[in-house]
Amino acid sequence: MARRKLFAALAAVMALALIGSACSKKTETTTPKAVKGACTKTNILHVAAGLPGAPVHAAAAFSSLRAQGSKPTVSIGFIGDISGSNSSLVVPGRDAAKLAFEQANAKGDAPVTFKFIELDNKEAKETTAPALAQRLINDKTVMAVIGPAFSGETEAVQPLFAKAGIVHVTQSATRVSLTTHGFKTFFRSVGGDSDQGAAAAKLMKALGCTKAAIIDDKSPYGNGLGAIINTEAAKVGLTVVDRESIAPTVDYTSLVDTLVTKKPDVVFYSGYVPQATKVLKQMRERGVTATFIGGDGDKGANFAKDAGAANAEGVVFTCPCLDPNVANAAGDAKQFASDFVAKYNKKPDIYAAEAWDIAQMYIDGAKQCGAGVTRACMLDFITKIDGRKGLTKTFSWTTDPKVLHEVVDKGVNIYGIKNGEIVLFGPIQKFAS
Amino acid sequence: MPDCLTTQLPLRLVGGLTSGSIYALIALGYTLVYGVLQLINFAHSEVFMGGSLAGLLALEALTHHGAQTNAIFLFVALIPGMLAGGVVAIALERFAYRPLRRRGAARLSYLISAIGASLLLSNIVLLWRGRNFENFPATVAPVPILTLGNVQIYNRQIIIVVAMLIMTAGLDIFVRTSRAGKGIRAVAQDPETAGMMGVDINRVITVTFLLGGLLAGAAGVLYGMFFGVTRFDVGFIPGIKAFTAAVLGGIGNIRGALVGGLTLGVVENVGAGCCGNQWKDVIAFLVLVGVLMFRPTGLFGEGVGAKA
Repeated sequence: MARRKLFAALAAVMALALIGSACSKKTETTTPKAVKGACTKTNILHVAAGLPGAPVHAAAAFSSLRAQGSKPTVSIGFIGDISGSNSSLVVPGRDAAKLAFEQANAKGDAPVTFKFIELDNKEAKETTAPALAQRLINDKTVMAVIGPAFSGETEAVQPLFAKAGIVHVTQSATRVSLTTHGFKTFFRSVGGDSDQGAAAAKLMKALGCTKAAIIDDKSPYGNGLGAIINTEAAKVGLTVVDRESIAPTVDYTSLVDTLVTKKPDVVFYSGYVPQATKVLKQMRERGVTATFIGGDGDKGANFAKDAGAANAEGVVFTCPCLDPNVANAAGDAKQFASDFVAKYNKKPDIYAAEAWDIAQMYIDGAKQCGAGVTRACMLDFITKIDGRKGLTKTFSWTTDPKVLHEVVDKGVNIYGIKNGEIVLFGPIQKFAS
Repeated sequence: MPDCLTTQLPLRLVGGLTSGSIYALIALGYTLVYGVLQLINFAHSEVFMGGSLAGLLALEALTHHGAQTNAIFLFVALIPGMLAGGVVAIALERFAYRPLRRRGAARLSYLISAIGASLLLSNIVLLWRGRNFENFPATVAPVPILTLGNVQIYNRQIIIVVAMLIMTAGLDIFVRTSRAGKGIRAVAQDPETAGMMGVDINRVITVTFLLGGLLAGAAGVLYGMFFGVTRFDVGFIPGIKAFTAAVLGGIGNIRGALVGGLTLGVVENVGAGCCGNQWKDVIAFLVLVGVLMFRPTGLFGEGVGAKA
């Protein structure tokens, strides 16, 4: 009897241990042709109206005016989780911004010298962010701030920066509510999850798909994006034949059985690379030929290697980002990527190009405001941005007080795997209006 | 009737039998050790992981100079995989359990020692190989070789099921007919009397762990062949599923482990079809709870000595 009780207790412990296991990871990378799969329009290049290179902006001036005497110092703040568990999403942006200011100082055509102040809000906590914001506010040389990187910490510091009149532009905080509070000092330069979800549904439709399976990994990101795509898919007239949330595992046999039975012509996996590659591999190995689309979390440099080169060929990704590392990168994006690699000996990862764009706005703001730059002048410069060409997108802000300073062009791009490398197919607008 | 029990059923059965065969191979290790020592070897999932890692390293070594992999490599990789499983299992017995046995420790001490050994082994592999999944070089290319109605059965699935059947049959024959097998049964029935009759108990226990380790090592390599990956924690889920399978079939009973593994694989895969794939693991553990409540001795009853 004692033995049976021991078993029962062990079983209960094991069941509890099993309920609640999750995992994650995130990354980016690189040239073009056919989308493998069952949807009617299998050549993504035919769907795209044309294949443009990356956005190009005006070449920087070459005239290098040597500074006469000492110039005043202008500090630009940066807040984000630089050393914690989310640092892989923050450090690339920090590095890109730092590089931008170093280049501006070296060129010397600005009337000021830039100082970059990075503050580490470890684990992106809301509770610790306000103190860091206050340090920047108290420093009278700080004229503008990049970030914070995440939504929670951003929401915590918005009122402080608003009171101090310091402009801050986030490169990666995507929570919808951030732009609904009416803070005139806050700007978001990146599209949110809802924008990607809508783009994904439109893309599936544009590829001629009719029956979609939407699978997510049960993570807050994956599940949130999956739910949005599910809603948006119905709006564009797709039939969702399978909608599931499955925690990360190795054995996707039962999911593949469902796909074999329900015969979707497109599978969207909303999660991260390690799971997406397993699902795709196991699908293909059991003869499921549906088009495979992943979100930004699935777009990782190792995708083709992990899923198997033959399986990965023709996979498509949606991403509200501009990846300067793709093999067909052109113009300033290519220049940025090579400068970044030269400086840091690593590729500019996620949100690097987004942070670079913000840094360039501040550099131009300081040039326009002159040596006597003020916080008010900087805020005014950013607020008046309209149709400014950047690496990642063309910047203009919404002016509706209910959705204030949201970037108008969400910059959702479509990528895919071609000859084992990640390539840019173009913005979503090329595929669907 | 839901379609998971009608049109989908053949498909779900095939998938379930494949996963179930892996569970059965691992479950045999739990059941053998339990039969002899009345001890659940909770570090057994690490034996499985050790086998899959050794299989991976062997395949990487074989393909190191750019050699094209083929199906033969799988059988070559099974050897180091099984050996590694055996070595890890014997090491566990020698260092985690035997010192406790000598001191006549309480049953709870074995459990704690098992969990400690399991964490230690998986963390050693974590430090050594990192936390990313490692890809198994492809050995057997998936080819559908049988079509039954609307179900395609793949060569890999057949390899797994057949390998499991051969190994289980071999084990069964070994335990029933060989001298060492008789020793295992004798110790399982009554260790004290067996000892007095001149059976070397320590040797019997070592052989028992070795047998369980060989089978779990083979399961690790087959799992790697089928799913294509391994890493430090790859044994966790298959390990507890196999434990469930062993209890389901009647722990300590070799044929019980076989039937328990296959039953669990089928039930969870069919259940996943009916209730949604996210419920797959929940279904497996509901089975465990159900068995413990209504038939704690499992489908076939306990005891290597009596039934094997």
